Amino acid sequence: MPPITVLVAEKQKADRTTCLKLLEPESGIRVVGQARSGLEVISSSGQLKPRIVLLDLTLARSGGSSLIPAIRQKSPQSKVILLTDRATEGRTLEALSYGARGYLDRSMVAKFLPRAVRVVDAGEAWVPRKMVAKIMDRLAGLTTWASKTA
Amino acid sequence: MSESAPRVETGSLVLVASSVAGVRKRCRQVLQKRYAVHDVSDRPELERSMVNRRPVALLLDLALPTLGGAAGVAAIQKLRAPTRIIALSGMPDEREGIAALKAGARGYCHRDIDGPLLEKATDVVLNGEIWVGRKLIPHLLEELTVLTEQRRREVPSNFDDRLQRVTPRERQIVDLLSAGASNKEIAKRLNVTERTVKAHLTAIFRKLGLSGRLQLALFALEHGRSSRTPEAIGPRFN
Repeated sequence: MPPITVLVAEKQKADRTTCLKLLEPESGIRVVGQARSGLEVISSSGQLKPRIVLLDLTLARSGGSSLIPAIRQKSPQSKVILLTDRATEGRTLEALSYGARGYLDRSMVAKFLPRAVRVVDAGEAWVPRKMVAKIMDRLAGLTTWASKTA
Repeated sequence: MSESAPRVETGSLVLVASSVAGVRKRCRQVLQKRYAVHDVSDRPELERSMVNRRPVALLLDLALPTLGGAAGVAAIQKLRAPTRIIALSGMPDEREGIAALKAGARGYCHRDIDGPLLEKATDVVLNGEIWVGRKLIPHLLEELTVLTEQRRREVPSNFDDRLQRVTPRERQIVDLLSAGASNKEIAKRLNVTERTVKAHLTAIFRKLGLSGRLQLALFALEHGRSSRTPEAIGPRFN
């Protein structure tokens, strides 16, 4: 099995280092690149086509635009996992609706990062159950919207 | 035993609807420790009980005759909005699960689910959360993304209008930049100084209402102005 390739897109050096330290000892996972700005995320996604992009939530958005559709356009096979800090639920939900496949609070990174990478790579989502209700509410809202405009 | 006991009065009524006696019996056995349980075996009885008995939750077998499967959940939910519905399936699959949830169900599971899990599912749903298998969640997210993208495309952007305001020269710069050229490369291409390029860019950002190169690159990607990687934009980092 080829290793799961990972792009670490964290704004802060300390956060990138944390991710590297956690992932490097893992067999079957390989960090193939790092990015520290939105532009670097887009260009690296396109060049490296990583299977997983670990994306700092603070990088996920610029002005009115989400970075995630751009990542998906550059590298449709990449799956995005957000790295978040507490109290960012609204923005996390927004990023999930733009195509992220999971999120991990930084306080949980040490414990769960390698597992989250494997689980999302295998096609599952990495979201707590509490968020599923919010996903459903948003989905219901959009479904109503879609049926009105159809 | 559950980490989050629901905030409903003990003795609140849970309704069970299935034409299969075994399913009704098992649900009753599992839930009667904590809830009052009433069960029904056909749709007319279900409809009456929903209205008259005001259950806090309904365990609804999707194979109930004349229900019409997952899509039929919506009509039952309409009878009483506050009742939280858990759809029970004889053969769960992703498509049916999503259909049931979209029709208003707050939970979806196999009708032969283990007793303790059924109890937990009921608690979770009465707590306002959703009970679904892990495998269903990526499908919900996919659905959410598709609808979000659809809306993003259909809600008209005024970017194209704004793009009309830039001069042909500025337009060339937008195209070069979104194709990944650096200021230096743009200057060379257009045979002007880098300073002139910067002045043009300032005007472009102002006219398009953008705050910088990243936003311009995102807008360009979104509006299909460039399919190439903007790899030359911004500093490289290794």
